[in-house]
Amino acid sequence: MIDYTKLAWEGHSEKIPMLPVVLSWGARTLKTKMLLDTGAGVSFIQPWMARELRLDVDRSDRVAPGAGGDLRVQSSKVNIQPAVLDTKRRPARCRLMEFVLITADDDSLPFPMLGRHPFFNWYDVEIREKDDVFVLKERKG
Amino acid sequence: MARLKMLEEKDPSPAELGKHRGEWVAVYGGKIIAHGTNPEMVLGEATKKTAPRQAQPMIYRIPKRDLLLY
Repeated sequence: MIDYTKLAWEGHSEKIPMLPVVLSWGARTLKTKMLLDTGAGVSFIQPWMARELRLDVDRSDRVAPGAGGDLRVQSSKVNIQPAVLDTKRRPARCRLMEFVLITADDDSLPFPMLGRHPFFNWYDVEIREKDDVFVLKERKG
Repeated sequence: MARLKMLEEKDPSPAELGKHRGEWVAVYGGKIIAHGTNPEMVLGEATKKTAPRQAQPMIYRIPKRDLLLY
């Protein structure tokens, strides 16, 4: 069970289902949080993250259609490990995300986003909006 | 760079995160140790602070306004 990220200011509040993850490539690692986005077909990271991890980027320009309009993107691969422990206090498994899109600039999207492919094939995700938590259950096989 | 020992990072309080809307924050030990709009500078500053502990901060973005308005 993972808490939503919560913030409060001047009588307002916001809560966001973001998953803590470790992204890695070779010996480089980056701990961050990614928005769980069931409306996104694939995952997105920002270009500064690709630079930090020294990802091998396919420089062909692509266009990813989205609710907010088309996004110019490039693609890469990255390892991803949810930065959470399971109920037996064991770390989650690290897996290769064979296709991740990198936005053209750091501000096209407010957050790195975890889309359905492949993450939601690896984990069943239960959103408990009223409780401000979500639950990840790793699928077998 | 050594592989990370997996630890769950606690969030700072909602009020503390709310002070940094629109910024990237670097968090370690439940505290914000660096923040700003340039994520690479934030990470660099934070990593200097956690290096003696051979630990890596978690860096993430705080939304500027209500997500529904993005």
